[in-house]
Amino acid sequence: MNALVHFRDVSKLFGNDFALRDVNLEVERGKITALIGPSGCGKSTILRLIVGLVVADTGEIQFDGEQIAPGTIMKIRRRLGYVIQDGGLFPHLTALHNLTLQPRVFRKRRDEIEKRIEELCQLTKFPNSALDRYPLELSGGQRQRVSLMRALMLSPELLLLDEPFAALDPLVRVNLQRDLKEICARLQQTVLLVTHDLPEAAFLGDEIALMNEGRIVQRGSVADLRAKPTNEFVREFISAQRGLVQL
Amino acid sequence: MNAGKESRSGGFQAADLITRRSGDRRSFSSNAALFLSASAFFFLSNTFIYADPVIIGSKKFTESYVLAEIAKQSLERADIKAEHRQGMGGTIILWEALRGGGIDVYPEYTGTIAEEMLKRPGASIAQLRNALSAQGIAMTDDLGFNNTYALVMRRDRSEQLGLKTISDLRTHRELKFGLTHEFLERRDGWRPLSERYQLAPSQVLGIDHALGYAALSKGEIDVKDAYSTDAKIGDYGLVTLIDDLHFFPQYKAVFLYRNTLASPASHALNDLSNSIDETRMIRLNSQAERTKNYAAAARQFFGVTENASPFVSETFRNKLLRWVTRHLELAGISLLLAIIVGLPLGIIASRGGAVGHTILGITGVIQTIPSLALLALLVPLPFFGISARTAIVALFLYGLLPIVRNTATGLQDIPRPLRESAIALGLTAAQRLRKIFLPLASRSILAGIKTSAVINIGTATLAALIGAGGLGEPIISGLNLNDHVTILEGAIPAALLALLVQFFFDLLDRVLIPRGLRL
Repeated sequence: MNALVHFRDVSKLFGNDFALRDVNLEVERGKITALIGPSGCGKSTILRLIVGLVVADTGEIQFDGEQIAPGTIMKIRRRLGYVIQDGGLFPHLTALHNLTLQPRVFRKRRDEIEKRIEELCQLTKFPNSALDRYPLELSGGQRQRVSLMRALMLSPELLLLDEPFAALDPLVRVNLQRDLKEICARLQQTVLLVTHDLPEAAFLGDEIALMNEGRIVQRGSVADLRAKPTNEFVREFISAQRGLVQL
Repeated sequence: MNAGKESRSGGFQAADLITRRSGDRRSFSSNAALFLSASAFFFLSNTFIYADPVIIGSKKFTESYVLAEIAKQSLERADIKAEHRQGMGGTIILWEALRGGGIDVYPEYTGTIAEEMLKRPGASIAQLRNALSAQGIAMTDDLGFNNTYALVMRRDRSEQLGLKTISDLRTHRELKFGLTHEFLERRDGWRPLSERYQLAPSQVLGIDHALGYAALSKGEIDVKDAYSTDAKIGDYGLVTLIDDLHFFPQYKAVFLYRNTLASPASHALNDLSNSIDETRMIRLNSQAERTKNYAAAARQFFGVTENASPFVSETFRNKLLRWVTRHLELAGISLLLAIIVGLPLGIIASRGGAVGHTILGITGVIQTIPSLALLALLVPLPFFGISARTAIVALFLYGLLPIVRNTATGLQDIPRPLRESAIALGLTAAQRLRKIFLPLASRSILAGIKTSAVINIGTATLAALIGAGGLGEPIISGLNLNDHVTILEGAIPAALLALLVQFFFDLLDRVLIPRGLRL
């Protein structure tokens, strides 16, 4: 009942293929929910449905009690933050202007914007001096920090992260994962995270939903999934993620 | 005398003023919009505000220039304002301009009227007059000479082969014919002539009239078509082959004029009938070609001899300045129109679908119409006619495709993640376009504008064909007079201008393309 987002029997077809099939999902407030599964299992489609980039064929999606539909989506988008793999920063704008674009369009006061940027730079450990750089002048890790800041500018109720660290090298990734966990804990941020990396899901997620072929096959903690896999796919997915070599 | 001329170009001068005045610190876009709307307004309105002088047209050859000058001076002697649009094109362009009211008077030949314009070969003068008047056109009595078509050869060549008549050509299939495009297509031209005389030469080339004389004198061709009063016949020492089967119709020179012309003006024109015989016409033609001063040749007709005419005294610098200014006006205004129309069309086209394909299809088809044909198609339409306006519209149509296509592809090439990030930020479609998509596509859009600008600078040389001026003016008169120096006076500045425009846009890239995209 306390969930921020509800999916009820949601299906989505791309051509004749099901991207999602009768998905039921709740995203609990203040928690990090991690969607995990192999490529093409439909996990990104769940985020794209919430943002309104695609529209469900059947079923219903509610955000804070309001149904996501063409009439409501513009208002709902302002309450979301969305971070994608490459950051999605606009190359023609500096880091600062990428951050100020949305609040300026929504006519936030200048001093409020400045204060918020100050806060977020501290929170995300992004150097103030790099704000004047263009995306192409930033490192991959810095770009993702700016992208995270941009998503958090208007204090969204829901943060959607679509494989945000997948393109980063391992050292940078670990740092960012650690920082993200700290930030979300401090903000008590509701997060829906998409990843294909089980350790990442285990580290960040309060709850994990494992998906395959457009369905959610099992929910719970990593320990639950490992101890009581509901089917053969879950067992294989968990064991494959341990890797070839035990270090 | 020049008051009429200035009032006709008033639109341009007003537009000029506005560009100069708006060189303050307001944003580029508001300046551009102001400039455009203002120039469009002046441009459209000026023709309606001022009382027009009598506009005399001429075809692009010496005799037509000289006769038009004679008409102009004859009108001016009767205190009627007159303006001469030199060398506007061939028969169709002049005829349509006269019917459409773009011009009021031009010199024509009875044979052309019967064969080409009215399609009534062999009609009597009275019949022609009736048929013309049904179209609102009147005709003077003939001016006193017959300038019919003729086939000419170099004297040495014809003597060597013993050729005197057109029939003699039948036995010499090896001779190369270089004929004007108009003669090749005329109903009283090459095809019926070759049938009548049963000529089947091995080679028949289409060549410009003036260039044909050069080719003839160099021996590159053996036979060409000419007008019987052509000054070049004497200058090059050519012989006219006798039309032994009497194929060529009579080409008596007359003036055609709109029958709405005020009676003092039509009287002044009719007073010229039977006042010029063949020898006199050849002499006037010859003088005009030698001095390249048609006005002076015409004044000689009125018995005025002079050494310094105001036209000759115009320095090259002034002429160049006038040509370049007009050239930039033509290319600049048409480019601005193309941007204003092309950008929104490109945005719509970028969405694809039937509408998008239609837009790209139509602009693409326009591009494939040869520029000369497009000009000829626009001239007879109401509102267009022989004017800078027509040239600007033609250039605008040509400039459209690169801008539309580059805008559409520039927008389509924006990567999906960026497109979706913009949507996810909750921006409206208009905000996304203005703040994100257009800046991201700016490089491609500017490249399209640059292409259009360079195309327009090049194509604007053709504007001179319909009397719109610009750097095409010296190129075309140079071509007509077979004068390479005059051609270069236009061609070199036009090429430099194109380079300069290219350079200017390269600079503009640095200002208008966001720095983040140039890393």
